[in-house]
Amino acid sequence: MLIDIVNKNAERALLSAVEQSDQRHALRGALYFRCAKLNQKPQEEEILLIFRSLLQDKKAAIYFFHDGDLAIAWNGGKKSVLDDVCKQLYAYFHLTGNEALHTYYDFNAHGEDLRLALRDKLKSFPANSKKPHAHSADHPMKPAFTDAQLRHIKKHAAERRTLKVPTILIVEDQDFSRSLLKGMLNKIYECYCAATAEQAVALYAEHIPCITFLDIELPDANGHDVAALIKRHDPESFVVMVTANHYEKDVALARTNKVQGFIVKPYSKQKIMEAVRKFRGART
Amino acid sequence: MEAPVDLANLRDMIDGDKEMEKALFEEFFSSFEAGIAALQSSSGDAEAWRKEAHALKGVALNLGAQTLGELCKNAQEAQHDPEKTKAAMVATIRAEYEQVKTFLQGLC
Repeated sequence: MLIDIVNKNAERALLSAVEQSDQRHALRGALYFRCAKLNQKPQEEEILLIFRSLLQDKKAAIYFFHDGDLAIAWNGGKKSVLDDVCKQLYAYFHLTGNEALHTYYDFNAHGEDLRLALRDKLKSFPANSKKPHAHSADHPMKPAFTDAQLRHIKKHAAERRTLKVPTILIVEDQDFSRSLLKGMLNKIYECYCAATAEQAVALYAEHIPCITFLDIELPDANGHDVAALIKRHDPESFVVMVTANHYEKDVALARTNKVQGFIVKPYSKQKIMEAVRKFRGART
Repeated sequence: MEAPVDLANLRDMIDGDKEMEKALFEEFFSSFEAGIAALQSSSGDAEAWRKEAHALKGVALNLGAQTLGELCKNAQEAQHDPEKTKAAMVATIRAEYEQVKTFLQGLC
């Protein structure tokens, strides 16, 4: 069986696994290893290599947390497996085993203890736990292009006018919603996708898309700030804000930034294609 | 009994692509389950709670799960409510989500 590697939203993913432990084929317990104390970050490939053979006949997942701790979960079984997992982890970190860095949580017997531990962990990373990221909504990044990116935009922005099929940047932090929008658009258009403001800025500078669908609530910054940045440096840009809220303040900010559209979720083919038609109309 | 999800909009967007529909359902399950866990864990932090509920609302609405979206909207607006009230909201959202999940799994 393949081992799942969870390096994004690991705290939440493990919480979810605990919740589902009563289902068939579910994970039954996890060995939590407090390696963050060691200031030695475990390498994913090395850890996977060690446990791929040890847990080869089991459903298993390895969770890499934001703070450097990790947890290895599998679908229960013999105590000897737990002993082996423990031994391998201590050996990996060149420890003797007397350091008492591990706790095994059986999801049925100790599920609540693990939930509490994970929630505490989430509280200590309230902002960036959603997306592993250098920035967060509480400490938002200030969206900015580098000088090189600005030169690139200035040099190539006009090339968009010659494109027969518009290119589209989708900025949406929710995987499902991003996939839905991409699923609709990439049959016709060339699409680039970003889940964070930082990714959005980098992709924008690289591809200088014809149309940008930009979510307002992003994990690392406010979408309005990204829009303002784009409009400031690329006057011919075509930006459409998207949001599940319909707040006056958001509409007002969108107007201030002179974006070309404002879509309230749910997405629909009609709303999206209307924006694309508006873009085409503005270009002719 | 009324279906907990209206998939007409989603199917229109993806031109009835069954394979993509199935993949989107799977993505919805994983996103929403992680989101509920995150909502539950953020009940002591008003802003984190609002953000998680907001995220769930957007996902539910884009799927076409109107009732689920409404429940998440109510949660979003209850960011300053006591934790006990929030716990009840999470339970209600989870119960509605299970209905949605069962419905979608029945389609696959």
